[in-house]
Amino acid sequence: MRHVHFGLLAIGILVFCVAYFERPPKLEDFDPVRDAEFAKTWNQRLHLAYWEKWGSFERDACQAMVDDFNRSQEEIFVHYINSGQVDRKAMLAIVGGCPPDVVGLWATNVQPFASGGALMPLDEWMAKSGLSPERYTPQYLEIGQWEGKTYALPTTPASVALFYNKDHFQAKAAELRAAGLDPDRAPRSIEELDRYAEVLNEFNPDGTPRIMGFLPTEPGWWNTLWGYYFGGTLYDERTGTVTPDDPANLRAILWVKRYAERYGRDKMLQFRSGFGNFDSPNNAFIEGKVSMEMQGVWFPNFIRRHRPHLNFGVAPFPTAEGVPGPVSFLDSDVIAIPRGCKHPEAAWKFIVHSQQRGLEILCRMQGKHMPIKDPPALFRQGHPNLELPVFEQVAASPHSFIRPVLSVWQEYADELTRAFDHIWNYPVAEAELKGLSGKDLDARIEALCRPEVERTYAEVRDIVQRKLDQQQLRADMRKRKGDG
Amino acid sequence: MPDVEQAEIYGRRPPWYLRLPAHLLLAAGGVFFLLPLVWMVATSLKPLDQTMRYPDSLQSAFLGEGWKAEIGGKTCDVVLERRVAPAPDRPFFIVQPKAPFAAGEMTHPFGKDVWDRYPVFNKQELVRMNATVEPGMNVLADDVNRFDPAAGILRLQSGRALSATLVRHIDPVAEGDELWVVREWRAEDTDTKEVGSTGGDVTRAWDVVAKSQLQKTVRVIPENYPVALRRVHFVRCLLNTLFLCTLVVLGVTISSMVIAYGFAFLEFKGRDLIFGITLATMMIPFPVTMIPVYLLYRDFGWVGTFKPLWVASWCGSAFFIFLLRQFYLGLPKDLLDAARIDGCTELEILWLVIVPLSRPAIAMIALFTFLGTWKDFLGPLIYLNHEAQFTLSLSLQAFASEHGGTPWHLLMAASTVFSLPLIVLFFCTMRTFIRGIAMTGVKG
Amino acid sequence: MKAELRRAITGYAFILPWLVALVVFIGYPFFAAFYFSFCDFPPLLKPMFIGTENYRQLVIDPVFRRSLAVTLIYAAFAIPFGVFVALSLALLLSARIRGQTFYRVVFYLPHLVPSVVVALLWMWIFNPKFGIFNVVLGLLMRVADAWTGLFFRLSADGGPLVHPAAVLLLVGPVAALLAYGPWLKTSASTRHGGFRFAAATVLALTVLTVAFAVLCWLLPEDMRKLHSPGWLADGTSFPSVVKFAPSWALWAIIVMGMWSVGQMAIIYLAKLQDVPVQLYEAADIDGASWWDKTRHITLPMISPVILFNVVMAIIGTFQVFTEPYIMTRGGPEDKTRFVAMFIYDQAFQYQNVGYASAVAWFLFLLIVGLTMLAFQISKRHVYYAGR
Repeated sequence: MRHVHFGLLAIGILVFCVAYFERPPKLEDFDPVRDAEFAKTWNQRLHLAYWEKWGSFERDACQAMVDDFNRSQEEIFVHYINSGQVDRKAMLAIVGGCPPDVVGLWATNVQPFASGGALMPLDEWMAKSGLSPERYTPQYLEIGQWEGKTYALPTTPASVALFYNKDHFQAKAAELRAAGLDPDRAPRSIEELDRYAEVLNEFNPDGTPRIMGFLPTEPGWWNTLWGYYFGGTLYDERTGTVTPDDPANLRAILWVKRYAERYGRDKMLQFRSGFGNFDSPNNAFIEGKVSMEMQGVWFPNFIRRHRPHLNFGVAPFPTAEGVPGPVSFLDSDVIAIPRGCKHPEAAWKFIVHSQQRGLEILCRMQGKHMPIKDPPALFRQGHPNLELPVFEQVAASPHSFIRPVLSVWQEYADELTRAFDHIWNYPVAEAELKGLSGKDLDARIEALCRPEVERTYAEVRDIVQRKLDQQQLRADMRKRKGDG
Repeated sequence: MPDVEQAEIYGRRPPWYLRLPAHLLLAAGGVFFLLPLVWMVATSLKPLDQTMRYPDSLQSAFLGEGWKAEIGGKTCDVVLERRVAPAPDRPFFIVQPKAPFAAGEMTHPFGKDVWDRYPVFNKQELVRMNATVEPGMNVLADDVNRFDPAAGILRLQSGRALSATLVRHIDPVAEGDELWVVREWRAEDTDTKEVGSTGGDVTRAWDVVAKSQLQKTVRVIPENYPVALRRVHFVRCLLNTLFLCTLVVLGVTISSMVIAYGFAFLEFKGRDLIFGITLATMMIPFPVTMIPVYLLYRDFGWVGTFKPLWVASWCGSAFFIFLLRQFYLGLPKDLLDAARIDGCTELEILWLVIVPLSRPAIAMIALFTFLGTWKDFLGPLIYLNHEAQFTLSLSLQAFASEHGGTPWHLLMAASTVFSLPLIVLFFCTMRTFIRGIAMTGVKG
Repeated sequence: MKAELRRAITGYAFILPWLVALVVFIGYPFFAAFYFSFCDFPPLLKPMFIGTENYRQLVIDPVFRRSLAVTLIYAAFAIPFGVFVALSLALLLSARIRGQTFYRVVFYLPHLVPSVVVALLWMWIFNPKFGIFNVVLGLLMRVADAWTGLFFRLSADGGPLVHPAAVLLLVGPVAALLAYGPWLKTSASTRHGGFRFAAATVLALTVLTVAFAVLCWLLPEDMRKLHSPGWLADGTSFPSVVKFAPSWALWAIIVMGMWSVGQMAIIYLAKLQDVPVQLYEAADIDGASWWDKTRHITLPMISPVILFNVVMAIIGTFQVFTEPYIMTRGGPEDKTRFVAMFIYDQAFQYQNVGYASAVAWFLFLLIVGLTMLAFQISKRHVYYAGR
């Protein structure tokens, strides 16, 4: 009979374990630090989950904003939950029926999420709470909109500019002057940028690069958007067509290809693989391997972390000659309420805070500007990002652009990336370029690559346009059926 | 099944000229197989800045390097904080201020009142900025914090000026040498991301030293382990993983045992058809059913709980049912008949006759299921939401995909701890393992 | 009649849990996916029936075609390569030499490392600049260059294509003739074993040298690249003259796959030890060489296991997900976008569950077809003991 007892005991333990682990975990169970701080009101509050993507010092900023909200009232408590790949996790959770109450997404997620019905529209609440759309810089507001409704609001915005290494410029001052360039300022057009870059390059005895003046693929996050700096666009809103093969876009990609061929595709690949992580002292710009680079408003934070005494300057990124500037790509992190959230009203209260006092805390601590037209007077005082004025200037420029607001943008971007890589790797025999230099070399490279560039980008247009049309068609079908 | 150690297939022991190349090949292959693992352990003991560095020697590929320097007569581990290059027109000094001030005033163009008023900086930075430089502490006067030796006045970057006494000039070094600000390094620095993580911590000893005076040392940091384990909430994740493993292992073994018995020894209409279907289901690739299964669990309301990860295992697994059935069929049939004649029920036969005989096969199933559950990553990734529920492999991945760069040294430390139980288990149960692996390759 | 009913009840009672699984966790999702494949279905809305639209799109979708091509190319290279390596390893591991237990453990260890860690580990190893792989490869290539350079001109400068030293290369074939020539076939082979082995080694070396030189002439670009490939970042194919050759990035994943070949090798090893010893003893009496024994006894005896594993590997190829997902995200130029990743992206990234289901179902049919093909082809070559 003994082993029957053992069996019963084992079953008992098992049942206990299942009961213990399967208990739905409560938000308030896993935040002991704050439990102590807010002990008095802990149990009477409504606990909300806020998923965000940030892990490091940006996390501290978000946490500070959340703490500020939690201290400002006594009904709601928001838990900041750091979640890697927040967009995928959020999508799964929304589909799975247990979403967080508030979620911090990437700008690229808004339209796919909104068109799939994963987010709640915020316009009515905005009107009630007095958050007027006029407050925002229009581009940043548009990032969170889909088909005329606002689904997400900007939290920390981004704009990009040209970072240049002043020490490199000074070290080559004489050569720059000899080439008719001013070593005390940044280039003002892309043509000038090319000339600066040419002077700043340094090579090892074996011909491999040691310092590159400029590399269009570093950091490589905006490879698909170069066309905008040549006056192009990726989407024509009037006709509703995608335009990856706009002449300006083709010009941009041929410009990139020139860098690949002049300095050698393989050599560039080897050179780039020697760069460390972005957030490390081995970052190409921070380490001084690249003299000029397009980077965002966050970059001074990282320079301060890894090489606080780096002598760098920031200027609006140049545009091609004849293209009005300054042009900057504008991006933003956004905050939204997922569909199926259990306490939307409370979540909205938190979002309102994140758009007022919270926004100020967040943008200051992350070293960014604010996505609104008139930031509070004290915002700039003691701001840790000393280059802020440049970024505020490019963000306010009417020529700055955001990604096309398309539900198929992710597919579009994937296709553009593929096309970009394809052209970058498109083989041009070295023999063809032998003995050529300067304008002749560029002309030959362009002549050799243009047909392939045109073919590739026309293919991208066809693929994406078909997807776009198809999605439109299906959405219409659903509307006619009165579903969705 | 003959034991691996016993049976030797090619009859004779090969002559030396064949043994030698065999050893060579195996050793070369062994290096290929072991090197990544060795690197994993080696990286887990390095400081972060050494994990992404071009190894200039074999030693530096596997051992983290650091610097030692003499500060105030005492040799200690240091971090190279920054390079300084004094010139005749920009002289550098080490000075002692006569009044206290906050360290941040040396690095920011505004005073303490400003950063106190606005929450601008993160905690770590704030602590460093708020640290007080007391009179008697050494301060570096450079081209930002200027010192006027004639007047004895130190002008901080924040704009404040205070009187200070000169300790010494910093003389330019010979051509080809470099001057570096070095600061004491402590093991707890491994937790922070910054390389110059001690940068600006005025409470630590520092000095300006010529690079030729620095000594290279090997820096092995076992502290990476506790730091990494704290970051992944190790205990909680381990409990979760063990809970899942127990349930799944129990579920799969018990159910497969029973179901395979049904397929092997009981005769009923439709048995062979169902068994055929069972075999066919092994051909369905996982992506086909992935989405509907997810939607199914959503309709059960199970997303966000452990249930999707273990409940199905109590219904058996096609592959193990198949394996176990093959094993059962190899058992002597007379035992079964004898038991039947004795009037045992089928369950009794299973429990008293079959299970004791098929222990090796069951152990193998348990082991493999354990291995699979321990390593599984896609399942927990999809179904678990709350940090309190994370399994080890999931927390590892969350750790790696943290936005803004991977802390390689900590990741590798956590990975080592994560793989260790499996390796120990493998060593303890090698025989079952190898026999089991052999069984999984059965005839199709 | 009653007994039969009773038996049926007992039987079904035993397999009841499995029936539940079969219906709920396998059958329903399987057919649900089939239904979804005829629908437009963003996961938060209701599925809307649209007929064969998804399948029509699948035929014309170049992105899908590319990802299918990647998967098939991977299968075509990785599976034979894997079988070859695993078999050779198994043969080596079964040789009667000291330290085999140690070797077996070493070769199995990588299987115990979680795939997330494996992927992260190999990202570092394949780094063109920091990675240990290129350091070793570069060294090997330089040695090969120096060696081949003794006999042939490899660089582009003038001069004779073949150096005088190339005469030495004749030693190999001559030695092979002496060792394997028909006149020696009858004599007792064991005494000449050492000599024959040396001759085989020299011959192999000669063949390798000549092959290397020929490759350097025919494919100078590729051979230059081989000194320091860009691996995961390089989307160009290697060798570049073969139209459907894997890209460098795909090669990286194939090589990485070899790291976990230990599991397969151990399976083969165990089966090798099931081969009756008498067969080898009989062969020894007939004076069969090692190669004869391998070819005529070992391979046929374990052929069913090879077939089984090849079929499992085909199915496995269509599930490759974690490695490219972590290491390349499908890049460069979609050259590592495996089908499983394509499906995942369509379903969870682009919210196109209908299309994802159509692709998944197409895959399933493809797998069934390929498996049947494998069985057909192998019918003549696989030997089932006792049949």
